Amino acid sequence: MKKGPKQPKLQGLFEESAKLTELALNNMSKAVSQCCGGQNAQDFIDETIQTEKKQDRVREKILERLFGRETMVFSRSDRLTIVYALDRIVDKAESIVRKLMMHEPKPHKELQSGIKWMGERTAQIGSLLRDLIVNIFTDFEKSKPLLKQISDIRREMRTKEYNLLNLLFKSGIVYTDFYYFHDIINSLTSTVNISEEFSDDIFGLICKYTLG
Amino acid sequence: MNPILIILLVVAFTLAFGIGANDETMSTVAGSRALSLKSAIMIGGILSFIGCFFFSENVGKTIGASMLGTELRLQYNTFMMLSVILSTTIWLIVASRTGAPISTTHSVVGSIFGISIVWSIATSSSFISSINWSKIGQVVLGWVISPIFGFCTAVVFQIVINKVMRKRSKGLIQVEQTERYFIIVLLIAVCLTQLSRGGNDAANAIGVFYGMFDAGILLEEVWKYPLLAITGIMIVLGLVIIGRNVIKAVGGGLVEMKPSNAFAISISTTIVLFIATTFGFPVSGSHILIFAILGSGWVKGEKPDKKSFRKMVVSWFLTFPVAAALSALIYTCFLPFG
Repeated sequence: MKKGPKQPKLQGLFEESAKLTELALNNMSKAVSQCCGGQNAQDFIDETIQTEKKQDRVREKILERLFGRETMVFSRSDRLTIVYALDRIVDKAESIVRKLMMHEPKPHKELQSGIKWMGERTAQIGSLLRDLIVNIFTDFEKSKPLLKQISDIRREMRTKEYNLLNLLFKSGIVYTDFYYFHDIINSLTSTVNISEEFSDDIFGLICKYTLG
Repeated sequence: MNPILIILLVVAFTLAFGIGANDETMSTVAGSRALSLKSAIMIGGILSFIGCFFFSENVGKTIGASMLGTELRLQYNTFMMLSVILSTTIWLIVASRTGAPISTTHSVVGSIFGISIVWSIATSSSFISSINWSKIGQVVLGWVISPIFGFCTAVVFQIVINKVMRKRSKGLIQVEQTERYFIIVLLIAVCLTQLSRGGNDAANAIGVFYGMFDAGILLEEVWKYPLLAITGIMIVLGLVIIGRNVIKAVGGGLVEMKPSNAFAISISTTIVLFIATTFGFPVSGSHILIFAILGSGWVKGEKPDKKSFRKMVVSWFLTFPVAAALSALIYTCFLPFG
């Protein structure tokens, strides 16, 4: 009987999922940046949506193999946490880019530069998440500084969020623009919040496996 | 064939069934998911059969006789032994149905008390002199030291294994790799224990047959291997039909365990049993195992599931009075015959 093509290792699929998460957040950030600069972001929006679809396929492959011999029973729930968290983050990125297309607000320099900054920070978190996933499998110690960096970015993002909301409430812009900016700010913060919750779960996982 | 002989054979086979039903040796393997419950029971069954067939004690054994006083020991007859075996078997099977691992020795002690009381009343003899109190004292001492030894040894092993795991826990892949090594050593340890337990426990049932061979009631050359095979099959049936309840309750009902935890539990149980047997302490393997599980959980900061633990403790406390009441009742029924 002929052997089929060699399947990638399960760990490789997790790394692929993490890379796609990084890519999705990066494309989302670029889309936000283009929109805020008044440029056409369609390519980046499409890329983000495609990446989300690719990540869904990878997630399905992982789930198909997660309960096989490649994993041990005690680690399966932790692996599921990783898969679903990455999926939620990329879903959020997709949701942001879809919202970007829905409305074209009147330019507001300060608000738009703030949102662009938030998008860039979110992309940075994507890279940290990728490194985190790679390190969970190979070196818990290397993961710890990444957790702190994610937490720091989230703190900066929260401060920025309140500054921008303050600016937004004082701006006196039309209701549709107000709602548009408000929603984008909230969604970007929410993406970072989910990422930080995920990094907290990872911290718990590291404590569990290194026995404190 | 003599009807009493037939009854003795049937009762001995039922005892073998009860022994299999209350065998919790594979519980750490199933509880840590080193093997599925089905595979654990299958391997446990095969090893029990091999243990029973090849390694069982080849001596005539009069169950419970060593716990009797001199006077009653001289009068110890088939009906008394039948009462002890029947009450032990009934309680083993009932307890196993609820998933509680109980001690066969405790059941036998309770049954001995039951027949001693009935015998003392029936013959107007002294109950105090009908019991070998020094032997009973050893058994009671075993009730106290089994849990303590099981708990303490498991704590030590779990601490050592935690240190090993800390050193080797570089990433999730390495954690899993280390746990896979523990599966191998766990399986080796548990399989050897199952093999020896198959032989030792079966000796209680097989001892009845050797008693018959010694008395010339049955021809050893003709009956030995068929009886050993049937006993082995009965142990396997007990394990497969009812034993899964005990394995599930002990392995998964108390604390969560990984293969490394299961190894700490199994190896400490084996070591305590080995030392106790060497020094002649009649300890209970079930009690050592349960407290070893609790010890391992304590090191991890895990409290046992209260409901499961309460059920086990209650069954331990009930073992003595229930076995005594059952054997007294059964022996009272036999009194008119002997």
